[in-house]
Amino acid sequence: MNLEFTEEQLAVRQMARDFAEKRVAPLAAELDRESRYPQELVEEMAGLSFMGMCVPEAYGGAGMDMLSYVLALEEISTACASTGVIMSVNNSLACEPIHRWGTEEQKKKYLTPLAKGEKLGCYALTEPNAGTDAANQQTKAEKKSGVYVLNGTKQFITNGNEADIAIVYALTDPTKGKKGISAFIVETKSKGFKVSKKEKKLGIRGSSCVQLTLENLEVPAENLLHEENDGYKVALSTLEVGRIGIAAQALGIGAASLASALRYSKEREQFGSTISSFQAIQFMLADMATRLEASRWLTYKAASLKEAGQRTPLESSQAKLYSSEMCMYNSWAAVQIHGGYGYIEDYVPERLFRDAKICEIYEGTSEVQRLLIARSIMQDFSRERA
Amino acid sequence: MNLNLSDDQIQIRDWAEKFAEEKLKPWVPAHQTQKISKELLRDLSSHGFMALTVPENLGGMGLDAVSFSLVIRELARVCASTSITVAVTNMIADVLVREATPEQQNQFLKSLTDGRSPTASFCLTENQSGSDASALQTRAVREGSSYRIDGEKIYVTNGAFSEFFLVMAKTSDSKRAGDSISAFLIDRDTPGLHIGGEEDKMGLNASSTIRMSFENVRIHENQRLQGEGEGFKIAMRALDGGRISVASQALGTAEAALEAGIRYAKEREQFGKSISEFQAIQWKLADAATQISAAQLLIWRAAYLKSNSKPHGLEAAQAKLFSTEMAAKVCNEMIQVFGGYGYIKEYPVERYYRDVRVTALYEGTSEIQRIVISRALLSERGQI
Repeated sequence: MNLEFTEEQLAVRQMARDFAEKRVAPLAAELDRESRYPQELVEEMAGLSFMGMCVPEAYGGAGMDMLSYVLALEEISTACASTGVIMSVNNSLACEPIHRWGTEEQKKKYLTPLAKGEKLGCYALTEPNAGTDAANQQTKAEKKSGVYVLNGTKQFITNGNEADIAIVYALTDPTKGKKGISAFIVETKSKGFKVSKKEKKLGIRGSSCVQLTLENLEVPAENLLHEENDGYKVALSTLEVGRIGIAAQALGIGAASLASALRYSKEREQFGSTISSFQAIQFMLADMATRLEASRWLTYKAASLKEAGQRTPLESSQAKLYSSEMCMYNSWAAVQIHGGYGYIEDYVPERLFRDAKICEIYEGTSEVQRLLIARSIMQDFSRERA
Repeated sequence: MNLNLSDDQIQIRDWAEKFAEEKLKPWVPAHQTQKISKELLRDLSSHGFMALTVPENLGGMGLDAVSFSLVIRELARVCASTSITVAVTNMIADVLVREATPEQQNQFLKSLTDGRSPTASFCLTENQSGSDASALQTRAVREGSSYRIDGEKIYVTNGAFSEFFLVMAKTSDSKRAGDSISAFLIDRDTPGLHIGGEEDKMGLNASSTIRMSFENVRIHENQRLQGEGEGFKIAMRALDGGRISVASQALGTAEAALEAGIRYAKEREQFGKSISEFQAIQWKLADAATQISAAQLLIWRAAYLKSNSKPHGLEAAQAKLFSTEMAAKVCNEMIQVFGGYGYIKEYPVERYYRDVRVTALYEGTSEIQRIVISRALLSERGQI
């Protein structure tokens, strides 16, 4: 057992923290208010190798370990959860599946620009009627003379408005349900790829969330990712990494909530003393910090196991479930500690509270995580026994 | 970072698990109505359970703090009463290793490692001094080269078994706990030391919890640990470690409860199917498993720091707060999984629920842990 970070991991965290404080934090309120995608920050993050952190250098990535990625993503998300999710989707949902399942040609052509941050990725699994029941895909991919022709609608696609490359799931065999799903690498400039609606959201307003309409969209056969009819496996393994990313994003929101609450409680005076001298406030701060640490270690554990090449269905879900619920609590408490000011846009907790909610929903709702966890522990409780 | 246990740690865990399953489990029925037997105490002692972290050259097992916490967890999975009996004894052993002179070690620590004293006890709490530990009233008045001790202590764990006691008493009238309290090692048979009755507790029914009084108890100054006025610091250092073991105990009980809950949920049928197929039940199991994982990691983090002789006061407080509150919740929810059967003593979860409640009380209530944590956060050094 060794619970220390390496020098390299600490250096990455520091670099991310410096960047987040100097560049991201000053823009966060504006991105939220204007619902503006932070193109300039994404370019700068590309310069810092944050857009393909775990991709080998040979494919344009930073060649770092998953824990470094978690540490960097927490820092970015502490400053701005929107910027955090843009980074998370590109790393976990676009680079990861191509890195893991792609052919050499696919890696050269698509992974490299994604990892370098020259191109942006998105992940199109969800549909209007396939949310938690993701296997209930309606989008179809019909093979016709060397191309797949895709038709369907994809819903709630983060980065969808700006993305150059999309990982799209569709049915290649509609008779076989989830065993008929395949994954494709799609260029968004292709004819038939259309952003049909831009959603207005409660939070993470700096990142886009769109509906995509695929109409007779032709995808070259060589853009099939992994094998035909085995796309669901790609989806599940990708989400294991995606959930670690969302857990890290939640860590950032939770840490920002605690930081703002600490700062404010030391400044604010009521009844003749700072409110930090009251147990009502102290106990909220203590609970926030304890839950944040618990979340961090669950996330570090999932990331460490993933880095060691293991499947982490249980650990990723536990990290994501607990961290997202932690950030809901922490952002709630940050608002509460700020009192009326917490409800006002000029103060950070108002944004944190809205941003936090999405963590309990995307990449598998809390309910899906509980389902997966229950399934896993009922199968084999001994796994839990470290 | 590597979150895997080392081979040695796995070996220790398995050794403790084997003892718990083979030697401890048969006592569990008896432990509902009687105290831990001399026979079991001897067995624990001869196996090395009473001096787990004591270096081998002092007669102990020489375990690191992570291994220690694994042992406490394994014992608690089977019998929390035994686990606290062992944990408190080890906390005193740890104090003796850290704070005692070689002569004191030779007398008191040796009596633990060779089994002459089956357990050891910590006398801090008094009628008027619980969370406000610094308000204790027991006095130690210096008379030449000795002290005269007068006062009363309550909630002394292991009181029925211990041949010596670590006693905190005031040696000055200073209002500051940091320099007014001293720590003394006192033999059970010292004249004037009275062992009172057993408390009738909600849970941990096989562990001993007694009152004590000191009336004109005369001891030599060489029975004082460290310098005069050092007692409160000794007590606080002891509790940092003690909190890791209480957290581990709570974790062990919670794990046992979850295991029982999973087993029962798979067997029990209602509405024509196993209740494990209902999301209402699955959710409870999932939340329990997630919080158990988190608690384990917080405990390892504190224990790891302790093993590496790094400050771990904040981390131990977080581990204890989280684990004990989590465990109380988990045990409560597992009763819910059992339904009416969970309320019946024939089923284990009834006992887990009672046993685990105290973990959020002793060695610092949850409220004290929150104060420790928030103080660290609000201090200048506070890091998020």
